[in-house]
Amino acid sequence: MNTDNDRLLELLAQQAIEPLNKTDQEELSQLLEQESGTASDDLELAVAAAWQAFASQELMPEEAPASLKAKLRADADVFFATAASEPVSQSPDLRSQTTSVKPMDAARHVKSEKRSGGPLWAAVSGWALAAGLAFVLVWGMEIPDSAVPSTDLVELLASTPETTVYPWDVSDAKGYENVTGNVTWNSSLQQGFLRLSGMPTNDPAVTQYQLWIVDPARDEEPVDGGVFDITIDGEVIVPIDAKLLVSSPAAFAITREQPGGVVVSEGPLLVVATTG
Amino acid sequence: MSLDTPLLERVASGDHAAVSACIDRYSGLVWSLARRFVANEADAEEIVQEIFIELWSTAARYDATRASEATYVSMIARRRLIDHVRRVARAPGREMLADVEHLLARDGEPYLEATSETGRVLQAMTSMSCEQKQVVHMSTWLGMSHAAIAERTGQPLGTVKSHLRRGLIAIREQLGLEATGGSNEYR
Repeated sequence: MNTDNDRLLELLAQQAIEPLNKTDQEELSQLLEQESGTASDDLELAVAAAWQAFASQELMPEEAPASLKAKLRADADVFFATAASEPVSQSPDLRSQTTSVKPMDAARHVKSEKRSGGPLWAAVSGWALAAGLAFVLVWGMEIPDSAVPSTDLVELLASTPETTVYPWDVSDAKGYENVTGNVTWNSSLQQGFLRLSGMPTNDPAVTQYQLWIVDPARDEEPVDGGVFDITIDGEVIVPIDAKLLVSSPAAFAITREQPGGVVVSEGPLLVVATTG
Repeated sequence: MSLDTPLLERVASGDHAAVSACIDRYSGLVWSLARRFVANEADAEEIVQEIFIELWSTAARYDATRASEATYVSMIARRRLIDHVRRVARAPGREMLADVEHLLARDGEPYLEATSETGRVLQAMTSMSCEQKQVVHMSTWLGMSHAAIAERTGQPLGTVKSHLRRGLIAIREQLGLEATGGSNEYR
């Protein structure tokens, strides 16, 4: 091992642990130019692997709180929805993207207004939006505009402590056995949305899906949560449109009804999420 | 793209379900790490959110031939958490400086799931001296600077740097990283 290589490794090791000063950074850049083929972050990956090894030894596993998972999902919705709203002219080939693209101003704006510890979206650098560009072309096609909750709603729900996420139970209704996803609901706000994957499509001219919210605290009859359509395969997100006040939902259920929905459903319940 | 494809590659290619699966798979790991390094629960939650946003942002850069997904997630998480630790200038407490030999020897308890890379890292550490392991532990796990380690252990600064460099090189070799070149760097 020659002296230059020693010095290069020393600087890389240091960079993997702590920021370099300007002089060291310049020296590192120069040495890296001479040593083509040296991945400057190999040692950082080694650090990460060591870190993970110590974590496996020292940390008891802890499940993330459901409310945090809901926030992560809501953040992801905002992130990708905002990415989808950006004008795009670049190639969808993400791995070859090198062009700097605009940061997601809207998303950053939403977050920066609400967080005291600095904008969450500061994590998003310009180049990193390249990852999101795929969703402009793919995600954007999968979810019809009318079915996407506004970023304000998603963000509002994510930042409100009482928001709860309820997974769909495994359905035994024929054709609905593989439906997955969840219901995000906040009784204080009287707002929420459904996340559905694997739901059979419907022809809106023949039938429509209808959401029902069971709230024994208010009535024996479930509350109409609105009608909606599934016209594509893949995951869709549907805003809840509760027609009456819902204070303590016990379950959310979906039926298939005539176009426009019904006042009283005879079922069957195709997909159900219970809150108990 | 099949379901066997790494989640981050699926996220980068626009697979919405992979985003949800990624949260399910890694939120526990990231949350456990955040709780270890961030005293305030609300701050920990916010940092976990930041980490996942960065994960979505950088998903296209993940290269399965260079590291496992868990290691990549750990790398992103580590950057954020160490930044936080340095920002609040919270010095590691004495309880964090437990004897490395003891930690490496402990078994039979339900700690975080170990990956194959974890096993290889621990294997690499078996060839290190106790002092070297201590430096690697303080530096990589506790996020202590070279100077702080030198002060804490009484070792000369140059020795600390040397221990760390050789330790990381040994780990890198065990992981087979050095042969991959710099085709898809993460910085």
